[in-house]
Amino acid sequence: MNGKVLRSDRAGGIWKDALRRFCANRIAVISLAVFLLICLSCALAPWLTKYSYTAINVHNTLAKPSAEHWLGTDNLGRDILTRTLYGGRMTLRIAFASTVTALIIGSVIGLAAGYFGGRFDFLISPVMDIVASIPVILLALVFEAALGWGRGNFMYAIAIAAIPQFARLVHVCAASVMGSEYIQAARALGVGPFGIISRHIIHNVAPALIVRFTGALAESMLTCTVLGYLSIGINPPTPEWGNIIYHARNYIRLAPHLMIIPCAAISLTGISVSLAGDGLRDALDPRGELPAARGLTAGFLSLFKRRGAAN
Amino acid sequence: MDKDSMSDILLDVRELDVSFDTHTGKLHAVNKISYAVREGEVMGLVGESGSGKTVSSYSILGLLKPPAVINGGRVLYKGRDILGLSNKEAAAIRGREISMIFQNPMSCFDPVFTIGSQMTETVLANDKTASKAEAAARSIDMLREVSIRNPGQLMRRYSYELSGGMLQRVMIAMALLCKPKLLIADEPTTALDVTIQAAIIQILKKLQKQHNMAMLYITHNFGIVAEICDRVSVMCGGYIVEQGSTDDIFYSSAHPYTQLLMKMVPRMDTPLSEPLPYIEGLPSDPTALGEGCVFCTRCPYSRDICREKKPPEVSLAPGHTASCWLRADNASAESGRPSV
Amino acid sequence: MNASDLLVVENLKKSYKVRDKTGRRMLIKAVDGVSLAVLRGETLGLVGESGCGKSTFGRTILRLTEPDSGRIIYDGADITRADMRPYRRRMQIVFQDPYGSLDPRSRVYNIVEEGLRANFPKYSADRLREIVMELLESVGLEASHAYRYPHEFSGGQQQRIGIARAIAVEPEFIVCDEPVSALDVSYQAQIISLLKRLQDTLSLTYLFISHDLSVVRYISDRIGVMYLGKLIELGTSEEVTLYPAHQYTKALLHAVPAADPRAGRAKVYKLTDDIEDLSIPEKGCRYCRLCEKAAPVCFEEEPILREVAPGHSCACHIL
Repeated sequence: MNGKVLRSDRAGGIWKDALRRFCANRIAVISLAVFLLICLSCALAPWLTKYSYTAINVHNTLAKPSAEHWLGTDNLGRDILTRTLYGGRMTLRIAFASTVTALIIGSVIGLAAGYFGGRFDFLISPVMDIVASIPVILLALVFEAALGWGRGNFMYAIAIAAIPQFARLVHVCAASVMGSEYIQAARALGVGPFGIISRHIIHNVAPALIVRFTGALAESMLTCTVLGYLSIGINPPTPEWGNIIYHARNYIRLAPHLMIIPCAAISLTGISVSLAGDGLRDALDPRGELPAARGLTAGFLSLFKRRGAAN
Repeated sequence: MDKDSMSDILLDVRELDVSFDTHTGKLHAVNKISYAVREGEVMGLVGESGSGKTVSSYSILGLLKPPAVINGGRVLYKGRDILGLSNKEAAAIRGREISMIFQNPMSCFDPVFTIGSQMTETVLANDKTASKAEAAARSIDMLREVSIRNPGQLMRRYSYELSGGMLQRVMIAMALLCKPKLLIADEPTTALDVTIQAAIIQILKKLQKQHNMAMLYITHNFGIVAEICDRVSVMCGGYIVEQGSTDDIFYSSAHPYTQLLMKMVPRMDTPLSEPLPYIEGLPSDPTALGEGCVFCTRCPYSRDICREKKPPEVSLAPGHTASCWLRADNASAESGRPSV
Repeated sequence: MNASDLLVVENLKKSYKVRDKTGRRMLIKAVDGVSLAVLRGETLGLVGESGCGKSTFGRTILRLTEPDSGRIIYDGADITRADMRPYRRRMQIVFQDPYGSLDPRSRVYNIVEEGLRANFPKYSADRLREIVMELLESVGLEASHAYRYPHEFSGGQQQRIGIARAIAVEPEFIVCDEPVSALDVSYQAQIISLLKRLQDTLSLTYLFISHDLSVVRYISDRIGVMYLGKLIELGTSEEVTLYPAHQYTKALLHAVPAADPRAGRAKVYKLTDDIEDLSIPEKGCRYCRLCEKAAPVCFEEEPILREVAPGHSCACHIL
């Protein structure tokens, strides 16, 4: 049976509809807001704190949270809030840079393999399988050794390791779109390859790709911190969530907040980005329920109201 | 002809009412429909897509899932209500007593197992005393009954290796393995070529006679109804609008919907110059059903009363009923039937 | 080549390489030497069971798949290997699967507009909107439908969208690839009458592909019957349906339900059984294994298409 959902017959692209659906998803919007808040505060770290992340104060080590130091200080008397923010700045910058790079390269490879298929596909797929089978830590070690230690070169490794998942996703989606009859119809209408890619393939691949991107972002953030913890990544004194945790582990009994705070930051970022990704996935499905049209602000405000019984 | 004794009624659906809970409200898919299938009889359930014919048959086997809700009514199988049965009890009836074949056989087979293993498994699940060899032998016999020439070889095949027509025949064989008393056939030939369709109908007809099995045949094509059904219930928008023997329906149909649906079947014996008639407009939105007749928006004879009140069910002949105001007026004074 | 011929196909062949169960490579001859001509303004029905190559034929003449050999001549020009860009607008296709042939993430408006944009890049946005709305109306949809997605429509309406997309670019020739096979009888009748009406108003030429002779005869002027990649019978609708020459055509005719409980079926024809049966025999007539009247010659020599009555030809040894 077809449960027809009445829609407003208003013009507007698929993206506009997606935005409306996304705004109706309370959890997703809150997650996205939290994630953006974290990103923003990390990015604006130099303007948010008056301390330097290297400023040592031997007279005030392992201090409890206070008005001076909101989250206390570490074993060298450095402000933890400052170090967490700067650490996040580093971690998120690496995560973003590597994931975006992987997204672009992977999409191009996948698109080519999916669109042209045949011999190109035959060449690309095994290469992607090989890349996917290399452990990211090994790759990071190689890059660090080759290009110099502690300079964030391992971010290339994270990017390369993330390429196959994007390439495969785009490949599979593009190939299935290419096999569909609406592509045949478009070809019969005289739409060229550029039109087919830009209209049909990108429209159909983008939603899955965006969702995968949020997932990959969370993953590469974790990889980055893991590498930092293993001292492969950014070296002290430059803070990075991974190495902050590594150095905090010695004081876990004495001052557990040294560890808890960066861990909480990592978890919060990871969870919020994943939940926002789930919301995006639902929002980008045109078969989803389309909420009534309303202004963006009103939609945002309604998140904080109690949902009416009339809904 | 008219065997109205209660004893041979196998399946008795009474005032069955099913709706879907959707975002926009309740969608009434089936509105208090009643029909009965006698032993050894083929009952056709005919209607357009969205008329509720499949939903009503799914509720018989307890296959409906939320958001579908059964609001009321009873489904009596051999006098016993099978709507409220537990999963275990329902499973015992499914397969052994009532079996079903579907429109898309491909999705009914597991691609990982061979046809043979799936068939013997079905036998063993329903007959604990059978040995594996017996089960295989019975499967092969059954495949032979659906005119498969090389059943032994087919048993080793996988579902994806077979064509749609072959697979539908295998599904029929599988459904009949446990000798059910009632077979529900949900548009089994809609996805097939006409040639294959003709063969499948022949097979079903033969097996139905052979096993004296009752059948509920769901279709949108009156051409098939003429071939196989003894009695017909015509569904429109969740209501049964006309019910009667196949002869009643074909030669003295009373409801304009039935007449139109019948005329729209492409046939070979009409003159080429005659265009194919069709119903203007679309099936009315089930969520927005008003007070009137379900067909009033598309009916060429619709009058004011059709839009205002639901037509009553009028008995036209023994076992032949129709719900139409045209008939309600002149049911007593038998005047000419409306013709399209 | 006749002046009244819009499309002439000569000895068209198309085969696919596939691997069988054991991984052996084999060649499936989907279209195996088909020659026919489509006259300007007519509807040529092409009938056959699934797997007979009728859809491949339809797509090959539009060059959506490339032919192996043979010639396709459209409006006097050989397009077998030519650049298709100038011809795309003039030749269109309507597909069997109404939902699968519409991009699920495009609105109806964009679906119909796509061809216009590709072929008439100079049209302004307002002009495009005007044309799209007119098109929707001409196929029986409402303007308010333009901003919905395909999944919100019934099968019949989806097929109307597909038709609107095809006629948007003002074609002369449309391949209708089983456009009503996936629809209910009530929608079938609607779509057939819509196609007929459009043919009259837009002076279109159709190649109407279907497995159901009873549907084809309502719309076609001439009917061709295909079996295992070959054209086995070709004639006017009347000739083919009233005086079928080939045994296979007779089988197809008898497969149509009579829609009359008292008529009964005259005869049940044998059925292709397994995948093996769909393979092409090495020699002889392709239908010889199922043909009831098969003579020894049928197993030896492949019959060629010859005229049995004016405008009616058939490939059969025994007539």
